[in-house]
Amino acid sequence: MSAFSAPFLPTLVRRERASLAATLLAPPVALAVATVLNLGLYLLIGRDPVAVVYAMLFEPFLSWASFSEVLLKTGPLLLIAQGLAIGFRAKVFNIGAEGQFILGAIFASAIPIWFPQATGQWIWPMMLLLGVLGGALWASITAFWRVRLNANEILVSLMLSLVAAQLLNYLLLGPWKDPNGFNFPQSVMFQYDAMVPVLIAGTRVNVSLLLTLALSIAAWLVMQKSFLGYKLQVGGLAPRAAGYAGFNEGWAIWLSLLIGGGAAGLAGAAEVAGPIGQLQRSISTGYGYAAIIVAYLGGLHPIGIIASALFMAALYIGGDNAMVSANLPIAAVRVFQGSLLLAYLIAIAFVRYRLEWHRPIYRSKP
Amino acid sequence: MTNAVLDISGVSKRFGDNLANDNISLSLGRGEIVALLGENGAGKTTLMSILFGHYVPDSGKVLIDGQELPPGKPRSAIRAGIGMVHQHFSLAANLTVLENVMAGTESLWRLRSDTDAARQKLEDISTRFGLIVDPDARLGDLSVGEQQRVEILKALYNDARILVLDEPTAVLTNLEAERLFRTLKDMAREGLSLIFISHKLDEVMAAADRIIVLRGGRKVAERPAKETNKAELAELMIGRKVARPVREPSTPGEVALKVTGVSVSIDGVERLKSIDLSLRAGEILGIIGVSGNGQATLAHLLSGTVRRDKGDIVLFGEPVGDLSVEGAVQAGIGRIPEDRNNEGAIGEMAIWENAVLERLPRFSRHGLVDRSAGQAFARKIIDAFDVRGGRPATRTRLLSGGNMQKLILGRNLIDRPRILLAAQPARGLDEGAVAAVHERLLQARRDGTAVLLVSEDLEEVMALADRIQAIVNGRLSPAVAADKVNATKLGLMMAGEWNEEHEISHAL
Repeated sequence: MSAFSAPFLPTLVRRERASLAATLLAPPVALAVATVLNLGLYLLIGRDPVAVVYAMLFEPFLSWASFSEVLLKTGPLLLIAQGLAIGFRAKVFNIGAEGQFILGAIFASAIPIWFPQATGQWIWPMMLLLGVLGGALWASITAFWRVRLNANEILVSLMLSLVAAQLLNYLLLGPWKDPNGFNFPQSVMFQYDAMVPVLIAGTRVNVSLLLTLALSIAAWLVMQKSFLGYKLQVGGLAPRAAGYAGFNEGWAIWLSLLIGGGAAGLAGAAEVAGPIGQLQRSISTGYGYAAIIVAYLGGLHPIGIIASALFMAALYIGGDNAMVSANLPIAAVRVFQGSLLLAYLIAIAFVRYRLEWHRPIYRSKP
Repeated sequence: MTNAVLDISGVSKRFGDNLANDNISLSLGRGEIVALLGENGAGKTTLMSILFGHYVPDSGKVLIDGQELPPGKPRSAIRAGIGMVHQHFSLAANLTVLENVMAGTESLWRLRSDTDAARQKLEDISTRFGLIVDPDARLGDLSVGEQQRVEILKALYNDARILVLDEPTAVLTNLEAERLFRTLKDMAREGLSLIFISHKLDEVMAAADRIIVLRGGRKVAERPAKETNKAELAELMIGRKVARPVREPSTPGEVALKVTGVSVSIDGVERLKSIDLSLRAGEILGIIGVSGNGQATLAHLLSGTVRRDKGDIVLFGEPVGDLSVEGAVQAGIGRIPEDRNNEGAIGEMAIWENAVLERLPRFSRHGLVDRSAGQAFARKIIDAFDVRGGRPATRTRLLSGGNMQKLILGRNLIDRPRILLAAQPARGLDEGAVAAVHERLLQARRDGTAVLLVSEDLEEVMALADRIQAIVNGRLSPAVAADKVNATKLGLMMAGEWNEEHEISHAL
């Protein structure tokens, strides 16, 4: 039964095949459109658009100090986005990476908070592992209810993020509060061995970036080459064909969510054991949500995601710069991110579909 | 024909290099049913779109009651009394029948709509043509057959005198189709003129007074229905002689599959009720029945995608409990699913990816898919099974239905399966592809494969199967030998009357 289609309005018709050139062009076109729209916005709120663009899009790349900060931000975004993309391609929409990130940070922090005197090089790897465990456990709640009751994973995972944020609040205001911290909601500072070793001297970039790149290659192998990735993809594209071929849908949901949750948890652990060095309320500046944009902007392709994560990280740093040098409100950065995703989704829709205009068909008697 | 209500003369239409209509003429008399028969791409729909004013013809004209219709003006076509019933309905699911019928018939500037008069008019039309529908029912709650009735009513409400139906049975069950044809004949008797587009031989023979055959954009023949037969029409439609192959005598071998007392429930509804069947190597067992009587569940059971509640399944002499998909494939069961577009193939993936779909373990090493082996496998299938229109890397949705089915047949038959499960294998295919699929099934039978053919098509089952069982409401009749039954007897079996057949099954 076809939907009622109004005369004069065009309909979207799927293209025979999407051209590679158009697919590759979509992100830059989306960026250009979003930039122009936002420039208009900056003008409206009375900021100098040239200064904003310079601060946001160029400054992050112009000094080693700020570029190293870009690399630092790339880590968690890249890691979370790679994990989410695997699920998104299987049409499992885990929107709760933010919560899984927080749980990863909490699990990892347990060691330095409970054993502040412990020493040894085993501590930080163990923290990262606990982070994976925490994120995966949090995601498994979503998986369980989805498989068991067919509860929508978008809602469950999103709401669990709010629960995770409150859990973090509780720990920081209660049992895990630093007794010598002047009542600030934060934990003790972690000991030296609880910190991931620095990779590039003089910056905050640490070994977890290497780990993230290695996992990106692994994600590429899984999604493009492996039996497992093939099964997940079939499940996403054609659930009934997957069932007929004997691929278990519940298994695909569990796997997608565990991978996404584990990756987000690892990112959370790497943040507290890296640049932050303690558990505090502001461990995430919306990485879990921004990573959704990163994943789609990268075309859900592991290689594309590396580029989009780098870009999104630059946008974070550039937004900070613009706040300082061009007096831009923090919300403007979020608006930019949001309009970028919107522009990209529209662009990619036109890569896959074309508009078809119909001659109006009169069914009425005049 | 001088008092024709409709005259199409010398219409040609070209799209790029493709001459979709080449100098086509036809006429339609009052109270006449004309069938426009042709394979997909023969130009039927283009011709009707010209009639309805969606396209402007390159040459030729359309006359209604001797008056020339201005080209490219749907409004004039409607005013002249042409109504079109599309294959995909243009109705709103959330409105009632009456609202759907009235939609677009009233001026936007009137403050209130005259529902009472409209209801009266609809009821008059309903009773006059025997198209009974509750005017206050919500459209979304109606069956597809009833929705089609609403679509027809809507055309009649607009005072259509010439009704064009585009593949009207494509979405209907057999029973609904028969009812539709009875209605069409009643409508013709009431003075309406009808054109219906089809590529199915049975239905044009059953419903039309006159049959016009199109092929490659040209009108190749015009025959009164009484003076032609299906064989002639098939040949005209395809352009060469196609005979569907028929099984030759053979001696079946060992029992490959034995099912005893198996029941299956899905979502609490018992779909199969204590069924028995036994299938031998080198024979085709036909399971016939009206769609929705449990044959889909039977096919799923043997494909390994549903679990049984009770009963036994014995494969090659060994009890297997429940079949899994992997177990079925490994045991050498080839599976042709009923719904090839949703279950059999993934349109968005490459041909080679579809070729290896159920056989992935064979094409993976250390968890990675061996792409080149998969592509070689696909190439082998493409060559051996004459899959046209694609290379291994082509997206599968670009294949025609017939070629997609050849791909699915190929991936199952290329390994010489011991059992082949074919659910509605020729449904929706055009005549040439049907013959090709049937030949493959018979070839598998000659090679000693035990073939289970699940079908709604009596003719298909009678031509291919050695033995036939009917499925009615989840119960399976005893088997009868195909050369001991005729269509009447099978019809009775499909209606659930098989008690007298017991002796025959014991004799086997």
